[in-house]
Amino acid sequence: MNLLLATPCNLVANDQELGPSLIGVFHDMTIKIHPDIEIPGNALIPKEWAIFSKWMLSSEETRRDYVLVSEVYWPDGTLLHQTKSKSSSPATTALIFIIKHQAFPFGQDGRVRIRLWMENEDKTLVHESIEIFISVRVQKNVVLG
Amino acid sequence: MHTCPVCGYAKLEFPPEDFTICPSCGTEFGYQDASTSHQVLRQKWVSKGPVWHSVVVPQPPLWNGYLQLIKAHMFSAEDIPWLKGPVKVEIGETIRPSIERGILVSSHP
Repeated sequence: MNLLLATPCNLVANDQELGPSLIGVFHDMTIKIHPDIEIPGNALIPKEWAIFSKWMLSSEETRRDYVLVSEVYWPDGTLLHQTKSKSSSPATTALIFIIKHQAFPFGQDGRVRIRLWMENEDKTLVHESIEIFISVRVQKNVVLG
Repeated sequence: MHTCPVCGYAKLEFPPEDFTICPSCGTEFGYQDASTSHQVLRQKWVSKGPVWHSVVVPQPPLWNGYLQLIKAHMFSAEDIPWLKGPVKVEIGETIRPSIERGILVSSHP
């Protein structure tokens, strides 16, 4: 199994014929706040975003069940979120996962780390973990109009 | 299961009435909300963390009070002190690729 693409984005639009399109791929986010505002370190904001990944299987690897494990970490290294997404015996050699999130962590300056790895149903590792980072900058002392 | 109208905890075993206590925010329904609105109770809970209340019911793994409010659609600038000032979110250095049958075409604006 090979990973073709893994990235965070704002939205994945799915077309029956053309397949998925990624809207607003990002790896950098800036939050500007009023100088008087203190944001707690565990703060999240309502923001829909997704982690898109596409995997290529050999013909021998099709028609099996796989579990994609995804983890999102705060910049201080604390685990924020873990999801396990199960595929349903793909017949084709392309496997796509779209993990949707309702909130984005922005209480801490630094890099939000995303880890992805693929397992069999018996938790045997199929693809070792990969990491993606999103830089989050909280800018204070900014006068907002 | 029932949802707490104060903090959005979605696994209340009993309806939020008749002295049911929410393990997440600690509201005792029928008592604390008799004289104080749910919004004021929510604001007080948020101002303390928000933190998990119960020492009997264990805090769910990876629990976050803000995320609980967001999922319950109870996340409002009226209740969250740091949302009262202007907050602006900018997504920088955006790449907008499109995928056509497995071939990645990307462009940098």
